[in-house]
Amino acid sequence: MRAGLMSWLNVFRGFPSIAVGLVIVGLYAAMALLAPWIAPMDPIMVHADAVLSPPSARFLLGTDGNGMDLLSRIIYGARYAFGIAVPAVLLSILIGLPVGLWAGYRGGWIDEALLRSMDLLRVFPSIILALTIVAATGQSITNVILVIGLLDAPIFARVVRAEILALRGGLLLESARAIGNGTTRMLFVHLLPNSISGALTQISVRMAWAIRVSATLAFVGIGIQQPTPEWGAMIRQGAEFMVTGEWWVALFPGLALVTLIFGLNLAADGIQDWMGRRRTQR
Amino acid sequence: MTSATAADAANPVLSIRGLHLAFASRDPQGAVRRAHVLNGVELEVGPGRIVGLIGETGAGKSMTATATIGLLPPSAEVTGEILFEGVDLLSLQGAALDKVRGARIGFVAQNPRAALEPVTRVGDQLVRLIQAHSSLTKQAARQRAIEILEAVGIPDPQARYRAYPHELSGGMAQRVVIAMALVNQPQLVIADEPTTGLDVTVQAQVLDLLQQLVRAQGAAALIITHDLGIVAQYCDDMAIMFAGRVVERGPVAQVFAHPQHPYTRRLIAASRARIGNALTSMKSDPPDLFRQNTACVYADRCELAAAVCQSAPLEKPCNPAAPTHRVLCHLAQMP
Amino acid sequence: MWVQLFRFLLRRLAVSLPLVVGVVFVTFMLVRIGGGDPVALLAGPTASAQEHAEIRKNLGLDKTLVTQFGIYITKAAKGDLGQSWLSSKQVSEEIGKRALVTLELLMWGVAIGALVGIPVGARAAARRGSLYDQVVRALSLAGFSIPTYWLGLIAILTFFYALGLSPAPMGRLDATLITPDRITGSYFIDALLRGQWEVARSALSHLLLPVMTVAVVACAPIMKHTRAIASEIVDSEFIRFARSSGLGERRIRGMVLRNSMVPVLTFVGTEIVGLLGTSSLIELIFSWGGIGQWGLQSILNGDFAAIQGYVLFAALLSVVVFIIIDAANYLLEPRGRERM
Repeated sequence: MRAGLMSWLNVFRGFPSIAVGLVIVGLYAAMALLAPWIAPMDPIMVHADAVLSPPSARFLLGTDGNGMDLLSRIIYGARYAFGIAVPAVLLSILIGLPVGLWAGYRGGWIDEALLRSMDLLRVFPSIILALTIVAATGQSITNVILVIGLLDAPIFARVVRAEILALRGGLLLESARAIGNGTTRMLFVHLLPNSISGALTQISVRMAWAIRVSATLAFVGIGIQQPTPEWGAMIRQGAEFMVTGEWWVALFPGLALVTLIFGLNLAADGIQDWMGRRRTQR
Repeated sequence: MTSATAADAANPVLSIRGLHLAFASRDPQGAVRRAHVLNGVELEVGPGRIVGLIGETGAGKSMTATATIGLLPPSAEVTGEILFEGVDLLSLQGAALDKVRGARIGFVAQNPRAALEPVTRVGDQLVRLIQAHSSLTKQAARQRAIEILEAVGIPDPQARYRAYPHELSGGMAQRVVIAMALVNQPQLVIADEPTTGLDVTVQAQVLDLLQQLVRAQGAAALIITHDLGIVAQYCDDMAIMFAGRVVERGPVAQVFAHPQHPYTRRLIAASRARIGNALTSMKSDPPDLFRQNTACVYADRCELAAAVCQSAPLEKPCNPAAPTHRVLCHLAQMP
Repeated sequence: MWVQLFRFLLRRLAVSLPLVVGVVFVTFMLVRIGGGDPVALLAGPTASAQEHAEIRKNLGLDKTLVTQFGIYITKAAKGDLGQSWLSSKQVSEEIGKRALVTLELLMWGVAIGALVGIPVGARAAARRGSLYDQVVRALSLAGFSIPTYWLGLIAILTFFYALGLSPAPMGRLDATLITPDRITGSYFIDALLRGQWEVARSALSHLLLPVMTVAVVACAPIMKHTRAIASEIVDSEFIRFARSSGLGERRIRGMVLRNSMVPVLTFVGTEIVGLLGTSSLIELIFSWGGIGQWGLQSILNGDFAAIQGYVLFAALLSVVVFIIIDAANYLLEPRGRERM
């Protein structure tokens, strides 16, 4: 146990970006979990006497156009960020992994379908696709999660498929089959663990993407709307006040977004470096 | 084959002395580890001699070549000297180093197709190399390029001039690489495993070509290989490396007839027992490069090992009485 | 070679068109299956059931979905993309008016982003591990993490509100000025061409902020990928061999450049496609009046034909960009030609 902990600490020392990234993400996750206890006020309580007031001692980050405390709304906003990103990425993995496993192992029409759908996604800017689909199918949080999850699934499938194709070139599968392993056993016991490492970076990247897209959707006016304390929706409201100088309404939610996405991307970058290093030393 | 004389030994083309090379790196756990790749390499290439540098994977052969040609990464920790034409190559940098390599020292790379630039025609690559080291006009350089292409046995050199590297077979590409190594008439040619990846029949052609051209120019050569057969057939002198040291060196005939080092003896015995590569048939764990060892590196595996072998430092060859045949062994006896 | 190139491009086009049709099909189905009922919107609250039925028939909504799609595609092939319910104008007309506006923003933004990003990324690859490199990596990571629309808002705040350097983010020209006669569709270029300096100046000042926002967002991934591509080449076997032949740093740098060109340009192409979505958001913030803004508003309003037109435009643009990239690859990369 102690040896395991020590080796993790060494990883962090060698790759500080993973550490810093995870710390940032951890802080936000804590914020999301502990929101009811940390937030100074009720995020949707209207303070009619202090509409659009700048940062002050009473409202640390100011209030928005409805007179709601920005700080509390940002803290609660973390819940929405994670609440959408985590299920969406889990969904992508749940769909993508088995499809990728099958496509890589068996090939055939699933492989073809996978490649075609990746082509389709490539031809098309994904933000527009997400916007259109969510707008068309109804603007609820569940739909947002479903759409992001579905759009990202091919990416995970492709990662797993690539890992499997690489493994097929090696001797691991041959020896396992020679010992007499059946198909299912091969898939789950041998292939799965080896392919997950490749997916690790993508998990972080896709989470950053999910948070970004959901905020964009809210910003455009699709999905979550006022008075829900979601960061994208908050920026949307703040946009109109930018020209008149009430800068805090859009600035702070945006900062929260940027920092969290940055943390996730930083961790992803570090994980990629770490994976690369592990690979060359094998 | 020319014979070694004392005068030749006094004026070697290349003289490597006390070459130590280490790399510090972080392992996946994040800790710092230092790999001691070369541990006091002593090597000489006499004028007009072809020296075969032989050893198992990880023995340090390629690293020696890399150090000589100046391709070590900045993180490399290197001490010692590599004397070529009176200059220590390790002290050269930038333009000074570039004047030497490609012109005075030619390098034949291991993987010919990968060594050639993918988006430029091979003829143009040759011309670029010629012009980098001379003041020839484009026309003259083109002419010279076609001449050398012909000299390395490429059929229809005018047409092949315009080929891209991926359009050439492995053997053709290796000939082009040899052409590039020799076109500026170097004093020394270093060939790093020049036959890897080539068909067996092509291997012999390439080596014949190399030997022939080197002799024709009166140059010296250092051929790095793991194949004793190549050493026996094409080289004048040989040097055997193990765990970053040259454990034995001398004229090929003499070393084959009277091998002094236990490792050399096993190598030769094993190669006599089977056709092909002796080293792949020898079972042993590779030496641990992370442990710096000033005593004999072969002691763990040696059937003759005595107590002195594990403890006494061993960095200089032990019997200077025979100047051309040197051995790194406490127990060596001369015939 | 040119004939082969032409044939190759035709093949690529043939492969891509089904993809475009596929994308439009998916959109078509989605907007009709999901979303609001346009008939109710058009008819108004007081319309009778018969009027509803009539409107439905006029819009062709009484036929099956597949038939509807078939009709749409055949009409589209002839250039008729239907009518926007909101403006009652032809969708093709709306797109035509705005296409160049969006392209202007996109092209300027990507050009500046690439002009900055490529050399910076290349330099970082040459000096890996140095401070310059670390800063570049951090900057590109940060650039990746900033939502475009927020960046646009911050830019407005800084340069318009705080510093007063930029004009208000309303459109492409001062409301008081007359738009120049159309030559290219770009206010800036047209005004320059006609010598209308005042108008040109105004157009330029309006262009500045949105273009810079796109440029910053485009720069980050270009920088990162140029660095990655150039690094891979710097580490490659042939560069190593070139060094061992004493070719000198200047020639080596030329080799790295020449060999990175194609992958980098390919990447810039894919970036352009990705930026289509991003620039739409910027158009929204700056009231740019391009296809992006129009398309987003159509989505919000459930304007079927307009949405499909928007999607079709984006998909076709992507295909064109990819074909251009393929052509460049074919011409410049000798290795791939046999495969093609």
